[in-house]
Amino acid sequence: MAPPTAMPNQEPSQFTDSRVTSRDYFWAMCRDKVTLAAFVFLALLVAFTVGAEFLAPHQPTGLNLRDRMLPPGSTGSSGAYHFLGTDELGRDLFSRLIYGARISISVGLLGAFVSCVVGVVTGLTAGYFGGLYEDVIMRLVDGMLSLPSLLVALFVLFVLGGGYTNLILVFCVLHWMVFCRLSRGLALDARSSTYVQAAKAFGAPSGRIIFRHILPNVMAPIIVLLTLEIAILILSEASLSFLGFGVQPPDPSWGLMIADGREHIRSAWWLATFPGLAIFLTALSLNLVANWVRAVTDPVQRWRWFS
Amino acid sequence: MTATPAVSVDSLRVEFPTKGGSFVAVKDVRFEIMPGEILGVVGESGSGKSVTSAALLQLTKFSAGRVVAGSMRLVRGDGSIVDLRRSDERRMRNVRGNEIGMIFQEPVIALNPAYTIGWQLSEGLRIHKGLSGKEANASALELLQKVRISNPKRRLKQYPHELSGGMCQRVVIAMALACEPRVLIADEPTTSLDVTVQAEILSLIALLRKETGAAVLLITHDMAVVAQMADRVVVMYRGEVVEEGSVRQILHHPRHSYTRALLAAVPKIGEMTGTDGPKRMKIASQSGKEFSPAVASEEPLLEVRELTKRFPVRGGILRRVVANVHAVECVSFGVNRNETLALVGESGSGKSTVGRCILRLEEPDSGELTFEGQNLLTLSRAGMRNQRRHMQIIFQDPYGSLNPQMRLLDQVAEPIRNYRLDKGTAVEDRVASLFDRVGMPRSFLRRYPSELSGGQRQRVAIARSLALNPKFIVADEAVSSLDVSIQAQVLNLMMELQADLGLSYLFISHDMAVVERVSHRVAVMYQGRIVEIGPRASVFGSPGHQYTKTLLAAVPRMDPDVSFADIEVQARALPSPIRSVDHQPSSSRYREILPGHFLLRNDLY
Amino acid sequence: MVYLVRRTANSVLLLLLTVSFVFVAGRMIGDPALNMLGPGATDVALEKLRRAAGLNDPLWQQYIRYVANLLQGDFGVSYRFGFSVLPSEDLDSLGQPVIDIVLERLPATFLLAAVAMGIAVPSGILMGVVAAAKPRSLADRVVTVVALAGVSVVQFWLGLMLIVFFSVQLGWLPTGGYGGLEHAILPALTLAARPIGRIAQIARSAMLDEMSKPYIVTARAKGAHEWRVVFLHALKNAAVPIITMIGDELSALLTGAILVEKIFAWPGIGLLIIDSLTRSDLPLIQASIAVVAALVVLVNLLVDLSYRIVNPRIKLGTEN
Repeated sequence: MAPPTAMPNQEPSQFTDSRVTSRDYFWAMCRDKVTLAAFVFLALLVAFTVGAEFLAPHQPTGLNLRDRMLPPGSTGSSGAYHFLGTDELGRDLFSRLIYGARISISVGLLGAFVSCVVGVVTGLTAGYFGGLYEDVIMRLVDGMLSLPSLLVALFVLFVLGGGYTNLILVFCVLHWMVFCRLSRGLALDARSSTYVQAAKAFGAPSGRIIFRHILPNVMAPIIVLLTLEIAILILSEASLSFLGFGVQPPDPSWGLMIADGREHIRSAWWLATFPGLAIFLTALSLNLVANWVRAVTDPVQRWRWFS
Repeated sequence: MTATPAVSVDSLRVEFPTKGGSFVAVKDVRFEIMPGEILGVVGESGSGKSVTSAALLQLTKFSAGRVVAGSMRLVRGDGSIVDLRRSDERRMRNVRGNEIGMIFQEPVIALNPAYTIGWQLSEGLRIHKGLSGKEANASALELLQKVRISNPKRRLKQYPHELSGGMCQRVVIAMALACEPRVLIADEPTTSLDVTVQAEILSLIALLRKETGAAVLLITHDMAVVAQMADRVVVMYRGEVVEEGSVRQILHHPRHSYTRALLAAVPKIGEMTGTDGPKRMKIASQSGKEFSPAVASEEPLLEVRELTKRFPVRGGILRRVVANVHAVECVSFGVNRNETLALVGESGSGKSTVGRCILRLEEPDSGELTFEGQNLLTLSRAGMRNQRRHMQIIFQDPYGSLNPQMRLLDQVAEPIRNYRLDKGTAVEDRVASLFDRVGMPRSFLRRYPSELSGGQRQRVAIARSLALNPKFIVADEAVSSLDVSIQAQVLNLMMELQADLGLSYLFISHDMAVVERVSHRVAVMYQGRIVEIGPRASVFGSPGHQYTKTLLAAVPRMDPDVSFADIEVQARALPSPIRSVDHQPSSSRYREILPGHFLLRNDLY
Repeated sequence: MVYLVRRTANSVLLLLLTVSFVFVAGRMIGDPALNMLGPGATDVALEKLRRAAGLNDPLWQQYIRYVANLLQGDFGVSYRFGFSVLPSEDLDSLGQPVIDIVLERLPATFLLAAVAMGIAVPSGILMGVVAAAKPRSLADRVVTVVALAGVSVVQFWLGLMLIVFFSVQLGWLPTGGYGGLEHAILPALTLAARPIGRIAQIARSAMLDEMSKPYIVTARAKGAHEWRVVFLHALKNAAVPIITMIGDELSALLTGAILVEKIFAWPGIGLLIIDSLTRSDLPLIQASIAVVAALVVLVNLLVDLSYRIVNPRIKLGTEN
């Protein structure tokens, strides 16, 4: 018999699933115009929020009773240009929007981030260890999730009083469960996966398994949820502030600005329109980014993005 | 032969778009199938065999595949011809299910979980033949009788999840036959099934071919299945047909080197008769180094006594335990130094649970585990962690057992770091030498698992399990998901490592042919118990238990003269392993029929 | 059956915890008697009221009495009883049992929720299914962006914009208030925006999941028309996540109505809640929260039961 042929070491695979680098992500994003626009918008927003003092054309509290309710694009009596017009006290709307972004966005970011950390830690450990610990935590989570969260938030703020800190506190208490439920499910899946079994067999301690093996592999859905939650919290902040239970007046939050604008909706449409538009665009951009992250990290459909 | 072929394919080329341009899945494929003939298309993963069959029905376009060249023709009974490549979607819908029926690899998920069997069976009839609900139901019942399913009337109202895999495959076959198609495509119809069920399904297909005279395109990776089923064979490799011929010609006088290599890589059941120990696979080893497999010693390493594991089923308002799944029931065996004990059984037999219990990845309910004189079950967490240095495990799924987010270097180094065996660059050196040991190039050290093929991943997994210098390795279906050629290489690697390092294996597998090849002793598991255990030559040569006999009879042989239609397999539906809480099974009792060869005396079967 | 019992027991427990929380938190904000009578009340009057209402008893006794009353459907009477500086429109609710006030407001909220879901459910599902049938097509992209817009918009702001456009500019529809269908159109549209987006999103992703499963290939290989594959084979399997989302959104509508009802002056339970909060009418707050929480729990229960109808794999009484 002829000598057997050496087998090829490399098996052919139908779809080459080579590792996607950050450069691939970058180019995939640049090809997707809508997502790119969302990223640019968010980047600008962050820049304006951080550098409000330098980038805002006027003082947000600069009263000017002669220039009250100027429509967008007007020039005020002192020659100042008001891109988005002025409000009932003659304050520049654009500058107020920029300062308002600070509050709205920091509430969203802080609330979502703290909830995320709390939820992910409890969720991963609950899913991994199981037992009574998991039972107790999941009971709590299920119970809290089935409550109408806006209503509870309203009531708690009614009891505690509104304001920036309380708002963030309430958001954390009412939103950590979302992260907990997600990460518990992910940990549950991961716990039975072979790579975790293998890690166990190779003597890795539990903490290492949870945070070094499981966490990096479940990061993508958590980041997606975090992005979505930031958007949700920004919307909730607006709602609560609008009703008077959130951020309190001298602070210019976007929700409060809509509430103020509502009174003049017939005479000065821009006062309510632009803050609402700002919230809408921010939330939309966050959603678009989340959508994109979900798509490019999904093993089933990711290949479409890099092809 | 004057007959016209039922299907003819010529110069077929199918492409898929990918990151780096289009990927050619199938190129220049040609074959014909005569009416009443079974054409076996055999090849390993990525050979394009499934894509070819999907292209015949224009199903590739739903997964972005494009037929870019060639012709595919279906010849009807009256001599008219359907151009399968250029027909529009409307015409194709009329062909699909009506003139060409299709059987799929995984029957349980090939059925829609939300509809009853009856509804799904009669759907084709309602679409193509315009039957009313009542007529369609009557034909559905008839079809179920045709595929010899038990209790056909009741099945009509059941949902797929209420049926076993074998029954589901019968339903899928019935569905494919519903409109009496001229051509039947069977895409790996038995790959996901147990060997006894596979035998039933294959003999059913052979029988139905006789009854209906349909042309059958049988796609499989299993040479033995082809040998027993097909009239003619097409061998595919990387999207191309490398050889075509009658089944005897391919088996006995293969011309192409790939076919020869493929045949050499397949372990053939029965070829070890007359030998005692394992034997290396007849393929060129990677290093080119020859070795002779280890000879088992008499010195015991691991002793398992009356191991029992049950999984509770909870229910009721207070979620109390209402029943137990008896996964492992009173299992006892020993493994000697330098020995391979194979644990064979079908799915649900409890063989994997035994392996996991030994490493205490699963806590056994009762029993004794003695490793080098040390009782494992009394060890504390830390003590067990220490003990795991000497006992390791290789898992079946090479895609899942490596962490996708870590470099290979770190993964193989992890056990070393966990036990602080080495520090700094010494760790890397050690990993590099482990890579050499398992035949992986060092250039892969800094890569990630996604860049590796299945065989390479399994090599890395083996390297990782060797990192701690273990004495004992549980190989849980370690080669089951690999292509035969890769499987042969990994088997050789494992045998070579055993010979060089003095390892002992608990080789858990469902594949009788592989087991025959690699093991010193064999234990057959059924219903959570070992029904037969003894030296490999003795168990395979003179099986004593009825179950072992059934199992051996069901294994496809590499012999075209034994047809599946002739084999009588008496497989029974597995009885449920779920028992009430107070069920106290008797402990296992054995009698010795040959030296070292024991049979279970308890009545299970 | 077993499942139903357990499920209901859980729900009742949850409701009990909710009302207890509201009770305790309500006591934290200060003296209820002072709250009732206002800062101008005399000590004598306060003491008289305390004695009459049993406010001098230990807290646990009050709690037990409160829960016992609740179980008989008695949520107490409105604090505005015997108080004269009240908005005139509410004069008829003085001293009324709060539960009556709450129940009176329910139909308006139900009407709004029904119209909004009537718009959102069919359009959301249709959008999601069409998008999933042809992923990455123009239709898919349009649906994705529209769905995201629906999810991202601030509801009350959308309401304002609709009022400005349809009522103020065009004068087609009333700016608010309760009345015929034309009064319900704008608030229902406002409320529908978010559910349309969420239902379309979940329908799309659930359908994409299902469409990649092997039974879809089986159906195609049977010669089924693509629409049959999508609507008959895939959609039934995708139903569970879609129903979950519909349930979630329905619950959210019952509370999300707060803002929309305020914007459109729609006299539903949402408006009642916000009014009672601004006036610190504790019994009314407690009753409305309890009723809304009960509704939400009920919706969840119904959603759970409907799973078992669409999905034959889930059976009553079995879990895991």
